[in-house]
Amino acid sequence: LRGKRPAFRVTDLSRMMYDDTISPFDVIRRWSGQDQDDENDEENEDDEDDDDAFLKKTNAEQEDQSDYRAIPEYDYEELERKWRDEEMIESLRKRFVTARLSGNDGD
Amino acid sequence: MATSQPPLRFTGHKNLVHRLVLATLTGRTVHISQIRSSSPTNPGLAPHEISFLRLLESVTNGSEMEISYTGTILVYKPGLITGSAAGHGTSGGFIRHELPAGCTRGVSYFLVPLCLLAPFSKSPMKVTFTGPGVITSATPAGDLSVDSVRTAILPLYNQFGIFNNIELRVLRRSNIGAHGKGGAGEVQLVFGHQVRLPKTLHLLNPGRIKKIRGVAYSVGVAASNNARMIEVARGVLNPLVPDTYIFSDVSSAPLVPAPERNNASAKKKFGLGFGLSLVAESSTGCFFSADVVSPPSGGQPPEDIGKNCAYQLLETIAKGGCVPPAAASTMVTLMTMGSEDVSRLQIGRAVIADENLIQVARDLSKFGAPGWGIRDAAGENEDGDVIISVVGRGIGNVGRKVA
Repeated sequence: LRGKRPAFRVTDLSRMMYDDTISPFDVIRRWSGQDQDDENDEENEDDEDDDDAFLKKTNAEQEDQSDYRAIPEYDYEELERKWRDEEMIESLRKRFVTARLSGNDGD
Repeated sequence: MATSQPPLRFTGHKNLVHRLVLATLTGRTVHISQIRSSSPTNPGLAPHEISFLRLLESVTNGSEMEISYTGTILVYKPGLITGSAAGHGTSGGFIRHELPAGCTRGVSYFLVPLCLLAPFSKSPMKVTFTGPGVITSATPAGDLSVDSVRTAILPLYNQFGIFNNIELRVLRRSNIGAHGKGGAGEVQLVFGHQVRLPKTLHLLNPGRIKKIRGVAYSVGVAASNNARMIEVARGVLNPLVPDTYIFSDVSSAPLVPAPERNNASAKKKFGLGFGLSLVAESSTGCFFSADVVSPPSGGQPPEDIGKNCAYQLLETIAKGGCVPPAAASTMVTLMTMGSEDVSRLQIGRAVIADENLIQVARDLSKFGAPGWGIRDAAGENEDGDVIISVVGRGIGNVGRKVA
């Protein structure tokens, strides 16, 4: 691999989407570039173990048992921390009609 | 119907329900093996999956299903989708579907796939879900609540030209019972709009969120729980959307028979708890929903439920695009079943980067649908949405064609 390829490239997804040799879980990891982060982190293996301990466990044991979820499992403490932030709220505001727009694009 | 084709082979229990729906819609026989075959404790089909098979059997005519001794292999040969036609186990026009007490999934687990079949049915789909396993609330297993199905999933059919006579009535509410199993609610689905083919969809503008509606439900517990959930949720959402209105629904807990030694006709209250369903609607008719429910073990104050639900809604909206993850498979399936034309849908990057949706895409292509075209959304695309182009199969309603 030459350096770091950009994550979330649409062409990458189209290529992997229907490739049955890659599991959907890996498709997402590769597309979001998480697998590269892991490769880079390979030297400090301990670090990675700490970070991904939860993910790995899901993968090995729970992956087999996991059932379809319409609502993913969220870490609500994490969510709260994220959305308490005024800046996050303001960055989301453009998705709401309350957003003040300089030009009115009238939808 | 093309019965001479060899069965499509799948493995695993992932996406099982959706595969069965696709099999029924396309009329292809499916052979699903290795269903939880590696599990030492619960191999084979789970109770809720068996329930779904029974449901399929009652809304179709001529379906055949074989389940292996261990339950790890399933062969399903679909029949015609008849809906609740007279003479097929209907009473008063309604098919009664009873869910067993051990059911751990909410009734939306059955409703959402059933709604996918309904537009292609020969006669109107009228089903009453009843029995000791009907959970109308959201569940910790990740199901939507009935309220979210009613206010966030059913309106989506509008975009496909399916809107007449569609109703979802909650006759009796129930939360999850003790140990996360069962409820005792009752839900009635009327889906009276059958079409030849759903309209081709072009949904490329997510619009802006203009209002938020919600339902707070308390079953068998004090109504003040509702007020507390609503207050906190509004506290989070009001700065963004002043037009926020959350309904409060208080009902008593369903009574289920619990025979004791001295009293054979004793009953006990079942499925107590509270929860919140929030739905945000955009100016272009896109819906984003969030659901949080009190855990069956209790111990979570209503303030937490309200707060978590509001944050979950923000997170879902932040994922971008025109559909939330929970509705994505419904949308793409209806798009695939449409006429042989290209329909387009703008979808958030975080929504398409979802294992489940990728599996859906692969399953659809296995059922013979052409692959999706994916490209970056044009215009001021700050969220990095993508546009998927889905070519319809044009197979639509087989039952209606011959009728």
